[in-house]
Amino acid sequence: MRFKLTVLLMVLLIASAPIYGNDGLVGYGSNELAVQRVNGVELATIRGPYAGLYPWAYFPEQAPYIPIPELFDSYQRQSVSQIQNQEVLLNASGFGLDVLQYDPSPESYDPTHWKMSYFPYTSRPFFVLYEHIHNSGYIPPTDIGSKNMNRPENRLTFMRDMEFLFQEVIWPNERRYAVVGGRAIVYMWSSIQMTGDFAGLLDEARQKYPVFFIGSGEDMSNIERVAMFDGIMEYSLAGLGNLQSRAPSYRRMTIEYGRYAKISRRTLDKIESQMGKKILLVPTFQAAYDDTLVVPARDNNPLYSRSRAEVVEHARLIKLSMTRWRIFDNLGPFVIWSELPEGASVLPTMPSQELPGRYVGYGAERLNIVVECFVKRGRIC
Amino acid sequence: MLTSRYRNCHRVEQHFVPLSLFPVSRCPVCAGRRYCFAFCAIALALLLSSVALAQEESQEEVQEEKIIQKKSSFRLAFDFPLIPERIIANMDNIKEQPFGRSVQPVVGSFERRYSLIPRLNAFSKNFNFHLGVDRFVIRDDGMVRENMQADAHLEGSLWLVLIGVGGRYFQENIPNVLSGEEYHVDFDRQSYGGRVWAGLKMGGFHTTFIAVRAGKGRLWTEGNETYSSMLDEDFKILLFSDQFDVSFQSLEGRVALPYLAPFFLAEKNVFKKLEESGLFGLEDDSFENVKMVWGAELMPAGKGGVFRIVVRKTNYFGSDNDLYFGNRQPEWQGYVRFVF
Repeated sequence: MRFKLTVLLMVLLIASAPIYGNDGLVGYGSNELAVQRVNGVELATIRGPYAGLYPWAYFPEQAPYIPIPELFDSYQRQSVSQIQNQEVLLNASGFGLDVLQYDPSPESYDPTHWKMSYFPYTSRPFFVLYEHIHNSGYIPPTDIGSKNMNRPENRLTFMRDMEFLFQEVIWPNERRYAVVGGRAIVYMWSSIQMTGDFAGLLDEARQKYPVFFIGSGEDMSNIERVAMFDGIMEYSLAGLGNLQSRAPSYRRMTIEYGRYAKISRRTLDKIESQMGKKILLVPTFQAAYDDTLVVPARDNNPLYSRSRAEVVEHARLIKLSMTRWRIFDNLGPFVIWSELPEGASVLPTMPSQELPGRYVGYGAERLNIVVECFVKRGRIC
Repeated sequence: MLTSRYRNCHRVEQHFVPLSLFPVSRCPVCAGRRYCFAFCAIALALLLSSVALAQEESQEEVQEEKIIQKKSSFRLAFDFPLIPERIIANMDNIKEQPFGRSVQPVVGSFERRYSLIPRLNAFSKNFNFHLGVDRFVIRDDGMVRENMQADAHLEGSLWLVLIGVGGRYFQENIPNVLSGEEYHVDFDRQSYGGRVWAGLKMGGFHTTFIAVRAGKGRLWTEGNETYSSMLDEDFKILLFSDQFDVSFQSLEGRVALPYLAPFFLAEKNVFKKLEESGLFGLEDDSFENVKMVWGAELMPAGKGGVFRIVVRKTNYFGSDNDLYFGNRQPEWQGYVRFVF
């Protein structure tokens, strides 16, 4: 017994040495700006959906519904009074900011439109959707084929456009321009079509301008490619519903967007843990898609939900992914407001009879869903 | 009340008990060292008394003990709860926080309940086996938490050397953590793990003994939310999926007096995260806590009696993150033990 006790006491003495754990250190990359800061509206302070606005004229024969006359006249771009009506409606509906479709190429009328009818007469915060795909300065100048950003002409065009945006849009409207950490947001739809050394070009632009690039259409499992952006925000989800099939499915689109969101979050978390770079993930809401009347024809089938409940379902999943699950950052979502030819806009339209099995959401129905789900606080629609 | 007390406890500062085996965080009950010194005093007293008793037992008592041991060295015991047990569980794993959701556990103390399933213990001088299975429901804030848990261990000793193996499983299902007319969201969590250990033991598990153990193990846990609605398929969200390395040291003792057998256990656990995935992993990469158990077994009919009453008190010091893997033992337990 004594021997056993001696052995036991020895073990106790050996075990009595204190044990210390290792404390992990987590570091974050520096976001300090090397260039002048844009004193705009910080995105984090903006609540409510982002309204995609367009400078295009309304062609009745190319749109699947009729916008209310307070917002559009046939064959006309929006007038100043219509833009002001629109601002009142957007404010009343709780939209947080505007996203302006903007092609800065010399042949484009966009700069004139926004300069003459939007900037002087409105006060809402905004950022630009940089039109690069149809930009005449690029080779090729249309969306047929991607832009090789190794080409000196394309690199020159990109930097020239950035200079133009800062001189003509961002600095003159600095106080209302949306920024992240003092960097002005420039959004690119289908950035996947910018190939070659695009990452190097974005870095070059960041060295010269305080700019925050948001991309879209990227393969979200491609870490290297995604990591070159500061944020990701899809422009359209219609492709997820399989527009080429005989009957595209809105439900399928909803499910696939959920999958896309989970893959995206995984990728962005990996980038953050491996490179220390936090990338924003802003959701997108798609009310419908119908470009069947667009000339020239695009060979897509229309994507509509079968009922209002399906649209609400899509919105609800986005809302839960923003707030409860935090898959998306709690920003936005991006909503097409006035792009009429693709049938996705949520602005009020003239009432019409809904057909069984195909919910368009005429009148203010689409807008009501957006407001119910993304504007009203503290509720899941 | 319990929750707020634990939330405010000082976890950083540490001091060492006289035996300096376990660094113990300041406890919430005494807010200082007094409580831990008290524990150590009890532990030391038990240790010394076991030695003294072993030395001072009269020849007659030794003879009697040997006869009892010969008669039935293997014992089978069934424990039936005598008093309702208050469940100690993680209360915040399904609730949204104002500034972003977190799965960081917060101690929740829920209603008392009787367990209907007896716990099984089998032991002899050099053999010890325990199996506990439980299934119950916690009603919390209008939600129903369906819990299932099981734990088992098996250990044996040869001369001084003790080896053992143990495992645990925990499952929680919470239907309708969020619901509307056309949808509902369900939460589920599974945790499982095992550990092995080696140590030293003097005495017999069925009588008087003291044992030290050190071991290692692994714990896995996974939490999901499933969104169900009119969609063609459910939308499942992996909230967390983590793997932890666990190491522990423990000191356990029991003194068999004629009609009473006080016992104690002090166990220090260190958890280190190995892998994580999902949206809301545990914030801490490592944490540690100390579990202390003490109590007594009353034997109205003496050491050979079938009917016994056991009272035990369990306390945890240090991190509450162990709730990430499952519920804790109730703070107070009292049960009837039938030994065959």
